[in-house]
Amino acid sequence: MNPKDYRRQVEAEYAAAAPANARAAVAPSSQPVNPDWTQDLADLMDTKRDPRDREAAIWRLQAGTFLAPDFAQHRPEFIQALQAATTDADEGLRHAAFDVLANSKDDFARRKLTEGLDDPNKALVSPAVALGLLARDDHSAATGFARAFLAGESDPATRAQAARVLAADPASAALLAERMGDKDEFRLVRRASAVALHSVDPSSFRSLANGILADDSDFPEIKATVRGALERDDSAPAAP
Amino acid sequence: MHVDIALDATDPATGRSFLTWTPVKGHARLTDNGGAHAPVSVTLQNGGAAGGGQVAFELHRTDAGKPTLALQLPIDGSPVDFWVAGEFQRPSIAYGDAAIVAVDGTGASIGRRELMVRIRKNAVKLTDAERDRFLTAMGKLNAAGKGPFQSFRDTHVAPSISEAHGFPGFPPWHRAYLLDLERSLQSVDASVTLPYWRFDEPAPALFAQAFLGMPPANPQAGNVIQFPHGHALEFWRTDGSDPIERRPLYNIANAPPTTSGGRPSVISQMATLKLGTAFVAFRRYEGAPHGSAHVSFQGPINSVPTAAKDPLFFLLHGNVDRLWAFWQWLNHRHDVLSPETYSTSGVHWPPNRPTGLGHNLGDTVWPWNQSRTPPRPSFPPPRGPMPASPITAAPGGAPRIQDMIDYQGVHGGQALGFDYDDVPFERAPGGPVS
Repeated sequence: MNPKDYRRQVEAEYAAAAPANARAAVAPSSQPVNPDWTQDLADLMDTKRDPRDREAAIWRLQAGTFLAPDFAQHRPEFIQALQAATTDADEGLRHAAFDVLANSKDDFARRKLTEGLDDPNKALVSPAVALGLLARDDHSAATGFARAFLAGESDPATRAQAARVLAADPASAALLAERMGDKDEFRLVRRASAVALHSVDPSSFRSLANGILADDSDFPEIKATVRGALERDDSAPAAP
Repeated sequence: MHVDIALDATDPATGRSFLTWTPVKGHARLTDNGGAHAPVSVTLQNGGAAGGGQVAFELHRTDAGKPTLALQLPIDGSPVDFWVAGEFQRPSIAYGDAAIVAVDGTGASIGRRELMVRIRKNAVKLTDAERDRFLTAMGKLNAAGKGPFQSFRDTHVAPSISEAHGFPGFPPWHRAYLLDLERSLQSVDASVTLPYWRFDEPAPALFAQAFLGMPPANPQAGNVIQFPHGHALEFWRTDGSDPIERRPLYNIANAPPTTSGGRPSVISQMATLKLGTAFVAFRRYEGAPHGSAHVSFQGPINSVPTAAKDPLFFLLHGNVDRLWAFWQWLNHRHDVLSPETYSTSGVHWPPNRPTGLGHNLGDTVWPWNQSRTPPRPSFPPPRGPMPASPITAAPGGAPRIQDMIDYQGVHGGQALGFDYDDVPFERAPGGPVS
């Protein structure tokens, strides 16, 4: 379409979407769009409110963090409210609070998550979630638990998450290689172990991957996983 | 008889040509005059594949190019200049699906140049091949955490937040950031552009397993994205060992909600455009829809220091930049000297940045300026100078804020080499012809 015709079309849509004087009516402002973070904090801390409303307040406040200078004065109170929400009765609210805190490497959240892995009676989120959040913050806090989960007999989702955590632990290379190569293992766990082994011991990964590709009895999904990695390794641009 | 067709937007290393909606200069000349004794009449026209990219020609720089252009070529081989651009809304889907052919008076082809009308597109409208080329390039750039992508992730972090967020430089800083990433992707595969996530529309195809994926259905299994085996991002890693974690907080069959608690959230494109016609009003879009789009998910993407770990970040910001580009086009906001286009008025600068360094038109943009002098971040700049483009000299290795504004060269400067599928090039009213 000719740009001039396109302009006419867009301007007509613009005019139809609001009163004729809409452009003039929108007064220039340097203020963010209607932030009311004080109200959002009150909503988040109001334990009588619906948990979904409180969770929505978390996300409005977290959106505020993208406007760093404007939001800075509210940040300490926000962190405090999030920490309080990690022990709320509502699981969704707890998870949301931990999610935000883990991104800011919050010590309180790390301690709560670790306590929950150490003692299931104190768990505030599932083990898979806890491992993932801890890994986002500090892998070392989760490494011991991850080894135990991967070697133990918990559900595949948790064991896969444990393997991902061990992607930062070179000492776990042998365990990861064992899980990656075990054809009786869940594919979810094999794949996560392969990805993790690729991080901690690339040469071991390559050797094991070539063995899997040469093994006619191995699964095509796992072959696709390791083949893709080998191809990318051979064609990736150099890091600066 | 043979005509050589050359375009300024050609990579000298590969001979490949790339166009956007913004006109570039071309040159046609006879390399074999066939024994003619007088200038030869030729016509330039489209010669690409059906459904491929289309171009438009003119003898001057214009937004009203035509599908054909008649030229008289001297028999001594002297070149004749012309202008050519991608025809708006007729982009390529692969290299070589667009072409310029020169035909003689009988209609016989006597010259041809293959090219690509390379345009940033809505992610959900990519062909499978376009999607896969993009993902493959991203995967290679990441290289399982050992590739150049980590330096992009290290650029958008807490200590650099005041370079990029909360101040007027938010749009131009992120435009530079995306340009750096796109050029890096194009060094892997020159046919790739950065797609955008139009977050005010449903985009289930973007979150399909074959594209950016979804976490396990059960939230208790964690938020790590479950890619199909062999997917280009299956081994994606940042910060040494972290996979992609993300869980939408809305039904991906729809767009994220436009309001939250009665206040604007992921507002529509129209509502964004109506924030105002002056930059001081429009830049409020950093809060809603931009910030609201980020927090439409659990995972690192909802936090400034971690958001760039997720490749979705770059598609989200592709849309944020497109919205700015659309607003610029709609309101004729490319003149960097106009306060309606860009302004720092009304900003309360923090004590460590009393002059707003990094946000004024003439300021260079970190990290591409390589500065470690306060108030710039003190850590080593994760990125080197802005990568050069084989098709344009702009914006140079150390771009300034003003270099990121008139990205199409509407007011006569060099274009940055990208365009969006729904934002045309349009000459400024009274602007330069060439």
